[in-house]
Amino acid sequence: MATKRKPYVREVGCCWWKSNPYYRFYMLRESCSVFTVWVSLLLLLFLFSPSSFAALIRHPVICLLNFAALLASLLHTKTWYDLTPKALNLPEDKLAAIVKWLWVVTIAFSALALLLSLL
Amino acid sequence: MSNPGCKQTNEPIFWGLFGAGGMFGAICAPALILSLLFLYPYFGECEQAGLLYQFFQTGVGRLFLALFISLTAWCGLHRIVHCLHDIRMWTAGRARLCYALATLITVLSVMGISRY
Amino acid sequence: MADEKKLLLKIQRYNPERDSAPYFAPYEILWDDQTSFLDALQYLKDNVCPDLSFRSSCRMAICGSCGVMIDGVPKLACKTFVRNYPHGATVEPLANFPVERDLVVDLSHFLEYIEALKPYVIGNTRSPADGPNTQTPAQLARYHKFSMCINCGLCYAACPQFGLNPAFLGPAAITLGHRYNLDSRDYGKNERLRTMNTENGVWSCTFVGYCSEVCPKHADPAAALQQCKADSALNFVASVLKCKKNKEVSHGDKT
Repeated sequence: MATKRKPYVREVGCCWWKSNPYYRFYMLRESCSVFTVWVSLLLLLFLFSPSSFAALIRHPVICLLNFAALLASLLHTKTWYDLTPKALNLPEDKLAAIVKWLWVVTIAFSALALLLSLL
Repeated sequence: MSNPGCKQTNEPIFWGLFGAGGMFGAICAPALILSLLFLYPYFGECEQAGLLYQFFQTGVGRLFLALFISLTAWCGLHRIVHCLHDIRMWTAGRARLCYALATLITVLSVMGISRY
Repeated sequence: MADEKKLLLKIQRYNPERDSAPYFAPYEILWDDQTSFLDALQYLKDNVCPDLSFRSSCRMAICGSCGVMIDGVPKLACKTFVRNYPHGATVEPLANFPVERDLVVDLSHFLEYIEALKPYVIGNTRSPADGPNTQTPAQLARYHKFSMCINCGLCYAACPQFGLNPAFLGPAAITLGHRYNLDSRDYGKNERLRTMNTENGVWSCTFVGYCSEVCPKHADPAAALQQCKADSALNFVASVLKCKKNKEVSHGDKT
């Protein structure tokens, strides 16, 4: 007897992530990578020509982009510390301790770098 | 039948670079962005440049910057490869193009170390 | 049911013999504070539309049969209460799986992948005469969380990577494989890693994390996948050092 099955496959388009807040946040997290690359390219310019770099970052549009890059980097730090330690198979309390230390290191580095920038 | 999805991939290499760049960026990016992209015109270009900017004129400082630039570029471009997959964009050659760009940034940043 | 209230559910219907595509149909249900979505579906089947198809068995969140999408979120119908949806809800079959009929999906991909990852003890040569194979509480703790899986498939419905690429082995199957990789009585890790090392293995995962969010047993598949990536990466380094990459594996080569 011929089968009466006719499974219906729901196609996944390119906009699947728009319907769910969790997916939207995931896409936000992933799209921060565009700014990561942007910062890389800017700092590459800094390595080669600090003066043209300084002139470029004074431009208001670039300034705006850089502000977005700063926010993106903060979101990257937060999400990175929330997710990455899970690669270690450790009990919850030890994971929490690792995340705490990562924040301590980050804040210490940031404070030191900013202090040395101003001195 | 040979199925390309069933071979051991080279993904661990890119994942390793992604992980290194992601961790480097998580720790250092906010401070470096604030310091270099916002404060540099005021504290780096003046007569008595800040200590951090002086550090970036030394070999060690420039090596640090080059490492930061190349590793975060690998991290960002690896994410972009997967992001393009997620939105079903640009199927053919996206990985090759992105990783080629990351390689280019790496080579340039290494060349940039000695230019001081 | 003293204070019975009425509520509108929009249920996705699909009859493969009649319909070309699924559609939503509205149904009014009676409910009180103890009514689960499974109760509501059973009420409709008994009283309103006897041809409504859905899977269920235990009614207590342990068999993993009654997974559906409620307002677009993968849920066990028996563990989700109507009282939390005072303005009504939509009920759809689990996302990312082919729909067979109404709320029933074809899980054969998922079952195949579980089989491919060999979730059982491999290579242990002990015999019953050797006595019980004991484990310390610490050895148990290494995999205990990952052994909670009830194979309900909610994580597959939550995983966009499985939706985009149905050849991806997916959260639950890899979590189950990892559970045995971590078991001190098991010696099959390298065998399973050959399947995990592939593009359709752990490397399709981009750590969206929604699988762990929807898991009704908190088995945390996202963490398992992440740990498998670390294992797979170490395995990759080892195989490069030993110059013998296992290029091809049996999974997916059935045709």
